[in-house]
Amino acid sequence: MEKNRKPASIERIGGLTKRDRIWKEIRLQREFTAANLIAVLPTMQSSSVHHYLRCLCAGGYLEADKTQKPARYVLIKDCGIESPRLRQDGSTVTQGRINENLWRTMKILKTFDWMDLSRIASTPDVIVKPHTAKHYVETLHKAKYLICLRPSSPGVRATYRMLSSMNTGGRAPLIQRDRSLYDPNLGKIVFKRGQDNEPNN
Amino acid sequence: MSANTIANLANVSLCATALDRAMNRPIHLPGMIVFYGPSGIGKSFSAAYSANRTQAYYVECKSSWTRKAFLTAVLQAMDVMPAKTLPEMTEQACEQLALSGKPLIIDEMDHIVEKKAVEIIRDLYEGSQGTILMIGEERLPSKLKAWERFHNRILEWIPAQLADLDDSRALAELYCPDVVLTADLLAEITKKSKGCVRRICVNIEQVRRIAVDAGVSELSLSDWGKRGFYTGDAPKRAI
Repeated sequence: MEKNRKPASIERIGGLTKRDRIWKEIRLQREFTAANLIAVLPTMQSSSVHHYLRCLCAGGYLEADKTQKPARYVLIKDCGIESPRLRQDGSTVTQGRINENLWRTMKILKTFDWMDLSRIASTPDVIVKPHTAKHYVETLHKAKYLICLRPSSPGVRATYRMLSSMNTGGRAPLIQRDRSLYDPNLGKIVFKRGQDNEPNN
Repeated sequence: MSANTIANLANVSLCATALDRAMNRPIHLPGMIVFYGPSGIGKSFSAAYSANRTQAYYVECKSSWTRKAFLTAVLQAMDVMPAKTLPEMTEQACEQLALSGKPLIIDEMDHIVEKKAVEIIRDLYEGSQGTILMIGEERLPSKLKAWERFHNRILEWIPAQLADLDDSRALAELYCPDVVLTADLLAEITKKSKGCVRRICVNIEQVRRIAVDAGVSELSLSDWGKRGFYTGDAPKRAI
């Protein structure tokens, strides 16, 4: 990648996490100090910025020139629009891969039951337990992303179909701790517990 | 490989290893691969497994798609807000493909092969030098031959295989772990299903239900007796 190259104007769809917003600024500025970032991210705590910068340096995405005061950072590995998900030691965060696999697999299979889903969404690194798949499917059904083609009966699992109009984007909706469903593609909560008066089908 | 994944199915591993080879190819080799075969043979399973393993961007083409619709879908899969014009959108997709290093999987490629959209895919490849896996029906290679500039950028043409006894056994272990299907029953299922993964799954499920209802943990061809199998053929008139 040539230096000082202007990136194509790319804007991420949907809601942005803190790290998404920091990463977006990093990609725009390319060479910067922590203060430069904090200046354009007024609502962000400076500790969040510093912490993410440490992760990115450890992961080899940024190079820090600490001889200067304040330290200057240069973006050396631009991996595109998705903010790298890193731990402090620079290793990749794998949490979230299960949802990601389930979401992707649903879009590909379109018709499935939760057992299908748990098997086909499992890869050597990411094992999706049947129970996890079931919980995810049921929540997405309540949020009306899926319709139930055939309800369950003794010995037979319910079959669901993904509504193609509900393919909201590349990022997987996630079930939050209060069991509400957040869709990062839309940037909003699409289902709250207590709303689950029987879905239409 | 874990016993709980579909990695043991022939087509799944065929597709996954081909995608690996393309992603790790030497720089002078082209980076597009084509995986083709009749429907129901497990291409989507393979696509799902490969996509999950590589965190690929996945799009499934529809017959009504224009070039713009295609690019919009690609950008949506990439999470990029689409720009207004085709050249801008192409550039966005190229950039994201090149920077992320993730492959792009294009399923149901047949739908757009007769349109100019094929040229867009070539542009995406040229602009990113990324890895692109195209999946389609049996006649996809011959349809692609019409686009010569496209044709010689293909690294590999991979025909999907009909399911064999090993595949049936792997599917039985996955879908029916609590009941043992004897080899003769599995062989019969494979034969009657004509190598179609989808039909094998239906038949295994039927066997599982019968076995669970009868409360047995093993079922052979003689236990199955004269009950028919799902073959995908239209039913015969009974009178």
